[in-house]
Formats: sequence, structure tokens, C-alpha cells
Amino acid sequence: MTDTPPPATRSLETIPPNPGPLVETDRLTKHFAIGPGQILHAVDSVSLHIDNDEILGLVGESGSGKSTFGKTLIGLLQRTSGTASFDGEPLPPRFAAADHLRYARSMQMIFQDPYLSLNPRMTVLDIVGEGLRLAGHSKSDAAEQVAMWLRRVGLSSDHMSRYSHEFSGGQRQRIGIARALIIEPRFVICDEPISALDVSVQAQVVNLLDELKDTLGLTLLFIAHDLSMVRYVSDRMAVMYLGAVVETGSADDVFFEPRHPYTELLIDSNPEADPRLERSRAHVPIQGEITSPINLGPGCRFADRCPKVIAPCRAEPPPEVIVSDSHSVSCHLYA
Amino acid sequence: MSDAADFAPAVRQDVAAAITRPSLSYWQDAWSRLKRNTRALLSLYILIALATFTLLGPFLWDVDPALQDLNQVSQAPGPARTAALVAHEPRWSGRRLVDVPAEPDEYPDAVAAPAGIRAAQAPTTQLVRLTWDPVDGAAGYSVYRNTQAPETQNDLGLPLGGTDAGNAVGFEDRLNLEGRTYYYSVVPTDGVDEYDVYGTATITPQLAILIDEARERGLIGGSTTVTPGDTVELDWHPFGTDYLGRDLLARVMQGARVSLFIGTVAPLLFVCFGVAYGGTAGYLGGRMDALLMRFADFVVALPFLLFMILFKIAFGIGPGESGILPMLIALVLLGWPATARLVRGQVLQIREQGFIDAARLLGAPPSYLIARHIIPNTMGVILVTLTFAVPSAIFTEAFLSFIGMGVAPPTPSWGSMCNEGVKTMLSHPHELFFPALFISITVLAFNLLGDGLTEALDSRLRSRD
Amino acid sequence: MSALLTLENLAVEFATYGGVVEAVRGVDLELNRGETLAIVGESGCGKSVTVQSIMGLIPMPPGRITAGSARLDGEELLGLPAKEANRFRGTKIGMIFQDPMTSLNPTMTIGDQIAETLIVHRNMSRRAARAQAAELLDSTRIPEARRRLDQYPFEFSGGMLQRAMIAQALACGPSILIADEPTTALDVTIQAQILELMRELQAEHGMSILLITHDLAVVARMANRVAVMYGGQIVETGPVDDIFYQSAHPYMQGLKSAMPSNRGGRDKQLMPIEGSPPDLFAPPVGCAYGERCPHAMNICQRRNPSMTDVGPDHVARCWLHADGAPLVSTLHQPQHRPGDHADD
Repeated sequence: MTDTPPPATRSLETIPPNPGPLVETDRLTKHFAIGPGQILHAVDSVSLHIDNDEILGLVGESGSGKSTFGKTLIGLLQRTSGTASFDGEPLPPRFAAADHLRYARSMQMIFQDPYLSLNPRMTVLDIVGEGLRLAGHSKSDAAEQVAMWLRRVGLSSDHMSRYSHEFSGGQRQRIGIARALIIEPRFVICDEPISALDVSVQAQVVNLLDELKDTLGLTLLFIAHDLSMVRYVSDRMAVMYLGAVVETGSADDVFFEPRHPYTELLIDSNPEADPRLERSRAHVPIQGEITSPINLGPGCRFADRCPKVIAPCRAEPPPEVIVSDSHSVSCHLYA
Repeated sequence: MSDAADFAPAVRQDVAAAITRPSLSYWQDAWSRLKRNTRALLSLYILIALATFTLLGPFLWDVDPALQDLNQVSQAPGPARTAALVAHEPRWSGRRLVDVPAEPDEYPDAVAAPAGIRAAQAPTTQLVRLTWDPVDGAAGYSVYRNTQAPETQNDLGLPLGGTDAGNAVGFEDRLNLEGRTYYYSVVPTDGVDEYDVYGTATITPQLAILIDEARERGLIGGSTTVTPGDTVELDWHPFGTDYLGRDLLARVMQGARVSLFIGTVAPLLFVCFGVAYGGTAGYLGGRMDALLMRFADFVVALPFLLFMILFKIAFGIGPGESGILPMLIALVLLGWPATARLVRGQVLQIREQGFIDAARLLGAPPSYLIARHIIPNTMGVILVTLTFAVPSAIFTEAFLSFIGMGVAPPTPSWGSMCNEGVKTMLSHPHELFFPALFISITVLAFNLLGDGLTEALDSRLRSRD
Repeated sequence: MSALLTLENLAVEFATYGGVVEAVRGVDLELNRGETLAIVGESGCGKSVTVQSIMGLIPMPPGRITAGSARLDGEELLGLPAKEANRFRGTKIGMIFQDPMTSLNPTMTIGDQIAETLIVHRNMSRRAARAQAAELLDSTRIPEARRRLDQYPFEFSGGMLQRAMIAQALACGPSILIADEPTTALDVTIQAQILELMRELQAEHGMSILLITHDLAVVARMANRVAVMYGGQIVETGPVDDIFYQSAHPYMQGLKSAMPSNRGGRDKQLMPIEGSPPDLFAPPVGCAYGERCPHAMNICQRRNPSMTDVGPDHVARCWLHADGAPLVSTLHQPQHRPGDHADD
């Protein structure tokens, strides 16, 4: 049903791959001032890197800051402090429209809500072709490419003249994918792309992303809260809690051998579609609620709920410790 | 019963989304929904009829709204009336009886009530000549006229004058006569005071018009010969006339132009301004937004009526000016904040939606975002606001003109016509009825249309079908 | 042993702007005492409408129950006048809903809302009801329950609100708790707490739970028996192990293949189900799943299959189990997954 995709091209000459990571952040921080003296630490000093052709999964619960991180990285929100770079080039803390235009072919985003992320007044042709038109392509050229891309994401080119409200959630998400990928970015942030979809449709979208990643040579940041799906999709995985990264490593390592107490809790709480397995698991859920990211204290954010809390946890921020090959934890237990 | 063929694999059409319903754009979809709403559709037709009435009416009914038909002052609506043609008559000298003394020898305490009060000749709207039988002991008579039958001597009505002698039993009335029933009362006097008796007669003058006037007014051809007594058809006033004899239909048409002009231009202007202002505030957000909205709050707090009065004084409407422009300006200056608030709220909401971020990431500059993404999604709200702003402006204009703070006479507007009509509400209700009816229908039609539009454009009611 | 709650041939339709939607098209269910039955399906399959019509929560002008019965302990629940319906709502059946933020009245304190049930149904005095409310809230393991009685919903987090709703639903000791997507809006760690709480309360009170969800993992965790819904109908019912390991319906199999399994080592490719759920404005004449089923046959397009026995207490609505249908290996043999955990 899909066309044979053209070979992965970049707009100009072939660029030799940068030896370093494609995307890198160093102590990236985003705070929101929500009242006099009240600071919401949405993202606190996050240092991550994503290599070429890699899928980094980012998981966390509400308040973890994973979506905010993605939006700050790509310039939709203004960075409070820290740095971010793409292909070795530093990214500005605040993106003007010209900056977005400049980086449009480098970084793009696929959004969470398929019902709100498409303009209801625009036809599918307009929506998907927007990036090309803003980059200066002619109408006919854009129409041609849109037709090709619609087929590529599993829709028909007849759908070009239709409006987004005529499509189902899964189809709208495909339109969103076509919109993001038609200008051939190198790096795509997928912000909860499947959370609003039915189970049977989630797999369609995940498979599509996988296939397109391979044929286009994409690098992905996959933000989601479904642990099983993130493990399946990602090469590496990072876990966030209240704005800070608590553990990173290969997806299998983090999932099957979690080190950080929060990650353990998360994996433990994650139910599996396997009744016998569920029956054999000990279920001792943690007590207490996720605290608020407003006006955090100096120590580890998880100290209030951690079952393995020790003295230094409340006093100092935990250090980042490398426990094995590319697997690192921010926890006093391992210091 | 099932057979082997039943279990053969099925042949399927392409599963990848066969959508069979025709594609409708937002406006096509909204229009089809509006058509299904009978009340809104009816209102739309009424408004189209009203627009035709206002724009084409004066060409089809080209009566000068300022022309005074003094023969038909305050005439109720009805078919065209016929009037008798009469020649001009000089003032009546009255009627003096020779065999009755001018003054009585003595003045009794009481006298008989005058009797035999009648018209000396056929009463017409040009003149009524009364005569009556003389009363013993009277040294003169006073004549009153009322439009209702008097019940007591205090209720006799308008004093017309009188005669100064007991034998002067004739009186001519030419004062504002209409073709209606009058109750004339005659009271004998002793030369100084009135006696406590009176007599009443009912007289209904016939419609009459002077031959010269009729020729002037074009009711009879210039060369046609006529004789007094012939009848001629007077100008037809389908809606009747007002207290100055002006044709109400023509006035309502002219008033429509004034009221609708103010009622549509002012909202257009202040909605446009409100959209620009609110859209900017919503888009910029943060402190600019707060600042802009505080100013809008300030404007809302200004007392509207006070401002209108101040405007009227400041602009000093001179003679001959209509007063339309100051009212327009005042409406615009004070009416925009509501729209601004509404549009700002809508813009704030739209800004949060994913497609704005997506467009930003593709490199869209702010002007493109506003024009291509934000405004089209607020069009529904804007249109509905406009549809409700029009009746509000019409009503405000009517109210202001009604209390005298609006357009200046003689420029008619529906509101000022209501103001004039209220004064004669009890005797000539039609003068109030027609402008009020038009205001009510217009405002109601716009409101119903606005309701229908809200329903048709509300995206929440649009499901996936 | 007779079932506690029996649904027979329930059919519900809605008159909407675009036409009539047949949301539920003939549902048969049985809920036994002390068990947890999960109704699992995706959006639009009709699972929420089914339980809402039991509770009489469907607004009757656009909605209409066109057929069927729902019997609790032999008593018919459908079509009762409002007063009668109120008798069993809250006392015999308690219900908790998906979004705790919008399911509780923001202008009443939590304590008042829990006490309300007791005052209305048990005729308790306000003081007695509040004392009882404190105990109920405590039993849901909310810390500082007594203090929280006087707080308003906006002061509670999502998980705590769900506990408050559970306390309210269980106030009059119902024999059935209906939970409509109770944890969908919650984070995974909070979800684990709430599910654990529900299991503990079920054991304490010996009540039955009717759990509506789209999450197969939650079903695996909580259910004794499972009913799978698709396109307004139940397509498969059976014990949870049978449904997961020996599913007799292509839809359930399709769902399992579309989910990642967490086994170490090489992951199998996700096999999505192509297409989308059926349009219930014009429900298909044949099997609702026919369009998406990889094993669809001619008869599937023409006639809707009826329920067939495929095992002890296990039924499936599929023509593949009719006499004369071809054998499909995955359906007609027990399925074991590599690396299965052994039974304890």
C-alpha cells in the first residue's frame, strides 16, 4: 500500500555525520513563575544526549517535566538556563520565527492530541503542505509531495481536499506525521503520539514511525507514559521525576534492571497483559502522592516517598553515577 | 443453512479509509445547519425583506417624509379618504338675532341650558359653524370642544372662545379640525362669569379640502374644472400620518435608513476594532495583554449615558445637522470592549492548541499565524458577536433618540418617532405603533439569526458526521 | 449458583444530530457474587453505555433502551421510575467514574458528599453520617482522613479523589461496585495504589466488581472473568486465563498481537489491526469485526454470528467456531507463549 520510498536524502550535499551526538543538552532548565515567590521547577538541570539514528525514550508521570523538556528543547518554550545544541551548533534560548524557520528542516515535533493539533479550517493538503509552502515551494510542487506523503503514511491522496474532522484519531495522527516529516527533518520529538489512540490503532502508528525512521534515517525523542510501549520502541530510555532525570540507559537495561528506587517503583507498578505474571508479582504499591514541583528543596526530589531513603538524600542533590555500560543513575545509594 | 461457500475467504474493499460522505468546508457545513433551523431561516428572510424595504422602498413609495399634509393630521392608517372640495370662505360674522336682547334686564341666578345646538351649515374640516337657541338671561356664551363626551362642567374640553352678547348665537371653529367626532358645549355667561349649565352637541365634520390647495397638491389637474361639492381622493397614507401630517410610511422608511445605518455601521466598526485589539492582546499575552485589558476594563466602566450627553454637548449639534455622526462615534468608542474581551478569550484558547505550535515549528511568522490560523478559527465567534451587536446598537440608538439624546429632529429615526408617538399614544396609537413594531421585528430577527448562527457555527456540536 | 447481576439482550440507541446510533446491540452478561468481571473494549464499543443504562444514567430523550433486561438478584432494574431506581443506586450498586476531577461536586466538601449518600439512603443524622464518612475515608487509606473531610475536591490530587469516590460509592455497603475506567486518568504508580485498594476492599466486603476498561494489562491484574466488547456487542466471554492464553476470537488475538510484550531478548514485531472501529450509525449487517478480521469469510459479511461455546464457561461470537468452518491454528489450539511463567 505504501510507495517505494526514495532514498534518504538531505536537501543539499551529503553531510558527513557529526561524530558527537545529534542532540545534546547540558543542565537544561525551565522554570515557570506562577506567583509571587512561587517557582514551578518544571525541568531542572537535565543533561541528555541523543545520538544519530537513535530513539531515546523519555518516561515519567505527571509533573515529571518530560513534555516541557521536549518543548523547551525545540524552542516552543523559552529556556531558563542551561544549553542545548543540535549537530554541534548551540541553540538559542529563545526562538524567534526566523529561528524556527532555520531549524525547521532539522527538528520537528509530532503532537499528542490528534483532535487539537490539526487546524479544523484547513484542508489536509494545506495542513501537510504548510511546511513546504513556508519554505518557499510552489503550490503545485507542494501538492505533488503531499500526495506522495499521504500514500506513504497509509492514507489516500484523495484525502487531500478533505477536512481533518472527517478522519479518525489514528488517521489524524498519520496526517500529523506527514506534516512533520514532509520537510525531512533529521530529528523528531514525538510528544505522547499514541496516548490518545485506541490500542489497536497505537500499533499502526508505532509501526509507521518505525518504518519511516528506518527509511528516512531519523533520530527520535519518544516521550510517553506507557512504559511497555516506550521500551519496545526505544533504543535508550531516560526516566524523569519532578523535573529531573533519575536514570538513563539502554531501554532493556532500565526496564529489566532498574537501579533508581523510583524506576523500580515505576516498573513494579506497570501492569502487564499476562494474568499469570500478574498473579505471581508481589504488589506493594508505594504510599503517598507525587509531590508538587513548586519550590523544591535542596535534596533529592524523591526523598519524601523513597522506601530506601538515607540521610544525605534530603540534604544534597544526588550525584550522577555510572553503574555500567551507558547506564547511569542519580541516586545517593550508588555514590 | 450455511454451505461451503459461506466459509470461503471474503473479498474486501480497501480498508484504508473509504470515506463516502461529501467533503464540506466549515462554512458549507454551517450554512446547511442554518438552513435546517427554521426560526433562523425565517429571520434571515425577514432581514432581507427589511433591507429591500429600506433600500428600494423610497423609490417605490416616493413620498417626501417631510411633507406635511395638514388636512390629514394624525390620521389613522386606512384606505385613501375622499374629501369634498370647497371654496375658501371668509370669516363668519356669526349670527345675531334681532328679536332677542343683547343683554338681559336682570341676571337670574340660574338659567336654562342651551338647547338646539347644531351646525349652521354642513360641518367640514375647514370650518364648523355652530348655532344654538338663545337662552334667557344670558349676556354671552362660551364655546368648548372636546373629543369625548363631557360628564361635568369641568370636563368640557378646549375653550374655543365665545360670543359677547345674548343674541349672538353663532360661532365658527376652524381650529385643527379633523374628521372625527367632536362634542361641542355651549355655556351661557352673564358677561363676566359662566352659569352652571351647559348644553352639548355631537358634530362630526366631513373631510374637506380647499380647491386651491387641492390644485397645489396635485390632487386635481391644473386644467380640470371643478365645482364645490365634488369629491376628490386625498393622498393615501397606508400607515397614517403623524401629528404634523407627515406620511408615516415614508418616515418609517427614512427612519429605517438612519437606524439601520447606525445599527450596522457602528457595530461593524467597533467589532473590527475589538477584533484587532482583542486579537493582539490574546496573541501577545503576558503583561501587554494585562495592560490592554485593563484599559478595556476602564472603557467599560465609563457611564454610557453620561458620555452620550457629553458628546452631544461637545459636538454641539447645530441646526440642520442630523446628529448621526456623534452618535456613531460614541457607540464605537464605548462598544468595542465586549468584542475585544470575547476575541481575546478565543485567541487565548486557540493559542494553546497544537496546530499553532506545529505551525510555529514550521517557521510561520506571527502575522501568518494570526491571519491563517487564529483569525479563521475565531470567525465564528466574530460573526455571532456582530449579529448580536446590531440589534443592540439599533436598540441603543432608539433609546437615545427616544430620550432626546440621539438624532436631532427633523431627521427621523425609529427611536425619535417613538418619542413623538408616545405623546399621542392614547389618542393616536398608530404613531407609536409602527416605529415600535419595526424596531421589535428587526431586533428579534437579528437575535434569532444570531442564535441560529451560534448553533450552526459551534464546533462542539459538530461531530464526525 | 445464580448470578448476582444478569443482563439479557440489552440494546440501547441514541438519537443524534446525524441519525440514530445503535450503541449497544444485544448484550448478555452475568456477574457472580464476589467476582471481578472486566468488560474490555476500545472507544465506541458500547461498554460505558451498557453499565450506565444499568444504573439508569442514560439521559432518555436522546437515549432509548430498545430491548433487554437487567436483573439484580432477580429484580428488574431497567425502566424503573426514578424513585425506585434511587433505591438501588448507591445501596445495592455503587459506581465510580473515570475522571475524578469532574465527578465530584466542586462546591461541596468531600465529607459532605460522602455523608450525602448516608443521609439520603440510610436516613442517618448529619452527625452520624459524618462520623461514618470519616471511617469510610479512612478505610480507603487516605492519610489524615478526618482532616480531609472538610476539604474541597480542588485540594485533592487525582488519586485521592478516586479514593474519595470509592468511599462514597461503598458508603451503603453495595454488593456490586461498577468501576468505569477508574484509573485511566491516573498515573501508573497511583493506578497501582487504587487497583490494590479495590482488591483489598473487595476481599473485605465480599462484593463483586464490574470493571470497565480498555487496558488489557489492568484486566490481567484485576479480573476473574472477562467480557470483550466490539461494535456494541460482546464478542467473547470467559475466565481471564482462557481469554488471554486461549482466546477464541480474532479481535482479542489481534489486540494481544498489537501490544508489546515485555520479554527480554528480541521483540516480536507489533501486528496492528488494520482499519478502524465500525460506524454505529449504520451498523454492519454481518459480524461487526468482519472488515478488520484477517480470517473473514463470506458468511461473516452476511450474517452476525451468535455466541458459541468454545470451552467450559467460555463463549465466543465467531463463525470460525461454527460447524464446517475452516480450522485456524491460532484459534483452535491452546496458545502458549514462549517464556511463559509456570503456574504457582
